[in-house]
Amino acid sequence: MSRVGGVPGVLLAALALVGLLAGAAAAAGLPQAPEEERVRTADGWELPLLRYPASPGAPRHHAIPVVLVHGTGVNRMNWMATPRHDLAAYLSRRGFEVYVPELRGSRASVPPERSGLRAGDWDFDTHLRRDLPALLARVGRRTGSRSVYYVGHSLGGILGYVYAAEEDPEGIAGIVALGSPTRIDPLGGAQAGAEKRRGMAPRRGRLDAPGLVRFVLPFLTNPGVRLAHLLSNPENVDGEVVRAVLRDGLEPVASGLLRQYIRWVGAAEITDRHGRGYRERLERIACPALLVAGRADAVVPAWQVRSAYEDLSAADRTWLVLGRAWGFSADYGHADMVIGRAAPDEVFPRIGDWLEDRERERCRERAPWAGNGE
Amino acid sequence: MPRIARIVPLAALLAVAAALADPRVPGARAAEDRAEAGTVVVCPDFPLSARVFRGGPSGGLAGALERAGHRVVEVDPWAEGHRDALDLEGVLDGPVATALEEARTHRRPVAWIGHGVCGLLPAYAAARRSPAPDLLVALGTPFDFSLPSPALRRFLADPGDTGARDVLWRNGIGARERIPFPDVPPAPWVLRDLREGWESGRGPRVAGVTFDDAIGAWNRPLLVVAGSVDGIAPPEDALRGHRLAPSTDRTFRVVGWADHARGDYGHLGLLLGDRAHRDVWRHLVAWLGERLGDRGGRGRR
Repeated sequence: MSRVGGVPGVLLAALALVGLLAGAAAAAGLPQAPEEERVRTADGWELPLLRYPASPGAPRHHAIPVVLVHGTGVNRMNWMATPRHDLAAYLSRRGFEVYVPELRGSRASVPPERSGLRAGDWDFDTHLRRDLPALLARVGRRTGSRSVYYVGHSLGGILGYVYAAEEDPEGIAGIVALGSPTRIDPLGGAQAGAEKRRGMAPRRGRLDAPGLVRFVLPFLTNPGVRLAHLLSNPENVDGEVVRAVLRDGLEPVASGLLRQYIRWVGAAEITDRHGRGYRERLERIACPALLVAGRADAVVPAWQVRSAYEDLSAADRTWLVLGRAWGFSADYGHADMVIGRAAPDEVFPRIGDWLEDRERERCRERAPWAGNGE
Repeated sequence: MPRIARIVPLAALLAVAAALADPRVPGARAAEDRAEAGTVVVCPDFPLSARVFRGGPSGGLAGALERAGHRVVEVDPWAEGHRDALDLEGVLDGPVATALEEARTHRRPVAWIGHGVCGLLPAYAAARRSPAPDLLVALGTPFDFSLPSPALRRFLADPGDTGARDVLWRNGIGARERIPFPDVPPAPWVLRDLREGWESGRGPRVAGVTFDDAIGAWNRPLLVVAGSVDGIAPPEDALRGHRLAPSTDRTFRVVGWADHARGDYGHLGLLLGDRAHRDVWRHLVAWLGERLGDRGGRGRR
């Protein structure tokens, strides 16, 4: 065989191999590659939305999709720092259709012309009333499901509480919130210092978190440095994972959002931009909730996350502390709830189990004869 | 008669007289009375001995209190509870009442530093209108019983479960390596009361007094200190005591990286951690000094 003539043969063989591998992956329950689409908000922003179909190899496919909403100053990398630390792929392997949106301000979002991108004039209320409704409506149209399981980290979880209480209670079938408080008790924790430093918050534009982090990067993986303990428990994360998130996962933080956070610390609770407290309305939340706290979380300490457990009125509430006394390999910090060394082995399954239990329960409610021998 | 022969009987006579006149009663050991400030009763968590207050750097928390000019009274309720088959009510009426009686002999304000469960006892005493201390420092004290960790459930089911004990007591900086576990055999009736308290989710009921009634009656100064990674009394459980107590002078403090400590603290770490003297006791002694006065000349509130 001539050398030139051999190329198509090699290509065909390679393609066949890829096809075989893809088939094997599907058979093994590996997730398909996510598809990315764009969602337009009512005020003209274009937000990215990743879709992970339920893995064809999953034992069963669940009717209600899962939406993973990231925290402050990060993007989709929040949920997929490495192929191993990919919660979306994990849930897809367990038979859920998973959506990973990015809120406005991420590098992949596109502002309308003459938007407030430079001014950084969006805040919590904007994410709540503009971004989430558009994103969740798209998920509903794609899946035909009236509701979603909402999984949020930090800010993402707080958005979930208020969305379920105010915007669309029927649209949330269950909430999993990781490191998300409903009260900001300024008795201690990192927030206590935030209010004292409120003068440092920019009045306009965005706080260049990626730039700042690049500056302090060498300190962020050193367990002997206090700064390293703020974002995660440095003994519970691999340096390369942290560096990957810091390199590709950080986004600037809007000054409007930052100022609102500082007001929350002053008010000791979550409020809208006019200072109206959301807390009382959280009593309306009736959907099941899994409240997850990191034992060593310095950003949102477990005693602040506990406020959510106390404020939500759902009869089906689960309290889970990622710490050694709860059977975990380490006391988890804020970021390592998802990117921790053992998170894929011990945190993801707890989330997957909780979602599957609710899905089973929901099916039982819809088919009351099931399981009673009739 | 040689001079020494006269001195020895005299010294012996003085020693006997001192022993007879010693107001101390069994169950409480007072350190040498060289204090100028207040009296501090220190009470260990179940089922530890009071030796835990002498562990840690530089003579332990008890040493730090003495250096600040306080008279320290140690109480060992769980050892006595085991020996005399006491339940929580018996502990309250026995060793606790005895220690407070001893502490009151000096007509100074009495502070109580209770580690773990011992931080609950003064509130029950106050609710029953029994003698109670003037100030309470609850160190690693669980004030919420509704959501115990799996390790705590295991410990309550079987106090000999070494895996649970290791996670619950030695988590956090320093303490794991430095000390033998200074425990005493668990008093079975106390253990029963604690189990019931956590199983009901409402805390122990002591002589008809519920825990919420007890803490609801505490209107004296209160300092609640919680270790950030404490598996027995996590900050979220300790915080409830701070919220429920009607005291107008109350302070809540978490010791961990986020709160300017040089590490995350667990249950024993608060007393035995390598840096506990700087991260925990210093603040505690200062808080007491502001209210009791101390050798440093700080006045009483």
